[in-house]
Amino acid sequence: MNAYLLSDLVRINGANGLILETGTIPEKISSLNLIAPRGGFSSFQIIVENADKDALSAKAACSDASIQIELFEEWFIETDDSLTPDCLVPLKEDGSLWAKQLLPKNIACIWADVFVPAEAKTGSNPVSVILECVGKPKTLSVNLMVSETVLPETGLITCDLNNYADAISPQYPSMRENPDRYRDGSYIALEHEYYKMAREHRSLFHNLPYRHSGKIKEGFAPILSGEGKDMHVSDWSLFDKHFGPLLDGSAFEDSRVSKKPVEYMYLPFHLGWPASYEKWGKKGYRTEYRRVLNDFVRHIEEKGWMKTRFELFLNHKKDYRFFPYTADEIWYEHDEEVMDRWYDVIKGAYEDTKASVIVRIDSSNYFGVHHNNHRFAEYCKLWVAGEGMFNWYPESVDAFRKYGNTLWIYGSVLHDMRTSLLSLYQWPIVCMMTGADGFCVWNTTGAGKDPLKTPVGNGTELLFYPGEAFLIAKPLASIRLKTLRNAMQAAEAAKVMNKEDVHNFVNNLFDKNGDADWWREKPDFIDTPPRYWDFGEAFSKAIVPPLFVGKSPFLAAEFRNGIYSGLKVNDNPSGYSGFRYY
Amino acid sequence: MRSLTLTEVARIARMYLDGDRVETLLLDKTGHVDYDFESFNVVKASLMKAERIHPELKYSLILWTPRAGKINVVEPIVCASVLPVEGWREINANESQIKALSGEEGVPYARDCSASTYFPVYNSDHEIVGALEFLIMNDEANDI
Repeated sequence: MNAYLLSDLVRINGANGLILETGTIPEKISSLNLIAPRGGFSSFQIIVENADKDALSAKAACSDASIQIELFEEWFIETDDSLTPDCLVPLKEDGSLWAKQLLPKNIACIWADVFVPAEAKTGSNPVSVILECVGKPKTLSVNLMVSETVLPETGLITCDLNNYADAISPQYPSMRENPDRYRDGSYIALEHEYYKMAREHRSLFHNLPYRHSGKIKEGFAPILSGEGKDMHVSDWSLFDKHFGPLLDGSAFEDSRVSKKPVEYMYLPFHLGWPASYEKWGKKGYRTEYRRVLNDFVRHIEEKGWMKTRFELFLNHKKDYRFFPYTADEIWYEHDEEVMDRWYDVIKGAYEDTKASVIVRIDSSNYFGVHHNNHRFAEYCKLWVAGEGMFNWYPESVDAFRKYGNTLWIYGSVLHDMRTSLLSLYQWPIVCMMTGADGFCVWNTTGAGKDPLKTPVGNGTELLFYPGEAFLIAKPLASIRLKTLRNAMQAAEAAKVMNKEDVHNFVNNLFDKNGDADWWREKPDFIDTPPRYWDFGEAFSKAIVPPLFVGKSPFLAAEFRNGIYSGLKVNDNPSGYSGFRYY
Repeated sequence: MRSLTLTEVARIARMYLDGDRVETLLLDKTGHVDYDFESFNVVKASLMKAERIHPELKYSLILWTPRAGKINVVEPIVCASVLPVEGWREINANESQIKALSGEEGVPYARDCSASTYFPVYNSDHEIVGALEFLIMNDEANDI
């Protein structure tokens, strides 16, 4: 057995034992320097070669017993000609491996997550990693530098992990074979684990409760009775069981990150619920819609769910043939009509209450038209706008402040999991540098048929893996979710530091000439309707290039180390100590 | 009381399905799907109501039309409550769809987990403008 330590920013290709990102032989080091914020996490990896996985065990401990270290076996995904580690399977309590995946060269990779409580003492703390294989122990050491930085409460930047209910059940045989799952509590318990895991990674699990057909799974909406002037919510019990713990915060009582209620939640309202779309345009549609919306507002107030923003959102797209409108990402100008007709139905039914019910719109194509001096800017309070289009409108940040609107940039799909982990720092850093309030990752539970072998698009829709294959009735985090969290921590920490200093530091780090480099001139083609734009070359040329292209993944370490050391500079290129921190 | 047969349900459903609206509801602009809102909504409401004529038969309704300029290519232009088994994009018409679009009534089509029956849809000139699919699923319907 041979073992060494590795940064959290590069990975081992399970097919050949080389660094995945560079194809080079890894530097086999037995000690590592790591800087960690208080109230947050830092990570590193342990690589074991020629390991007998049946006999291998690993344990790690810190001299400060309040600092918690969790170890995970890395599970490799078949990504064309490489094996990419992504799914993280917790080690058993005795430190032995669960998964024992067979790999060429018998490599075992272990991910270490170090949690430093907010009240931990600052300074150096030795961490020992003890590996044992058939009675032969090997010790590796990590010098953990606990930073002065205490992470702020989550929410300075929202990392929104979007999903579509119910994408979870099909991934768990015990769920999909249980027709009572929505009623017997088993689905709810499993789904809550996703919310909790997202929170533990400084993210928001966001689950749209209806499909394009308009169908809503049991328990995602209350039960309605009556019709027309008699329509009302007749049973909240399953809805409350489902969402109550998320909305009163009790689901997060064990969180090390934040115990607050979920920050945002989609409501089940759409063009076909609560009123049937059969009645669209008739007075009965309005009657039913407003009656049930009133019931919701009253229920939220009675329950005291005041810390969550409840979204009214139309996700309809005409391509799917259920509705004639594309309200999500308006493509034709005349589709604005549906927003106005729908808003006319709900107007005055939710605004003047203690409940925070808001209209959300995802508008990228017409963002330039809609974001300012437009009726949508008045009544839509939560916006999601394509990162590329946002590049052209720096003035939108102040405009939205004026309207009291929240703006998330739409990050679209994730990159193929082989892409540099620095790519996951893109959205948090862009939000921090531009003033966007958050970002939306389109889908994070898109597993496909065989997620542990070949998830859809090499993981472009997946950050949570189903644990049931390892007899764990919970989601399993991915390396990319951990990376996103590590990025979020540093970006949110930066938000409470001196803005000018942080901007200078980040601009230097990413070779920007100044804050203006985070934006682009408006291209000529924005004067034509988006359906005529060239979304290929012309669009790519018109937007800010991705941060990670051509950059070392270790730039992420430079970024977070700079933030966690309060931007202290000395003669070390990484800037913050006499030795290199990862 | 005698229960209606699927053929009888189809006859009633098509009495209230305005074939002239079917002809005009799809607008084709630069290759993107677009609709005449009013026509779509009239047809959609007709299909939704028709799904409630005999719910015990557990059928879902999908309206197909021939794709202009393409031989034997059809697309689902209005779905009442479920997507077709074949998805939401245009497809090469199956044999039963072709027969229905040629005027044959109640043409069956069997799949592993579902069965369909197609009926022609007429406009006021008694021209065939589409095929109405009665889809009965054994499993959960295809949805996105």
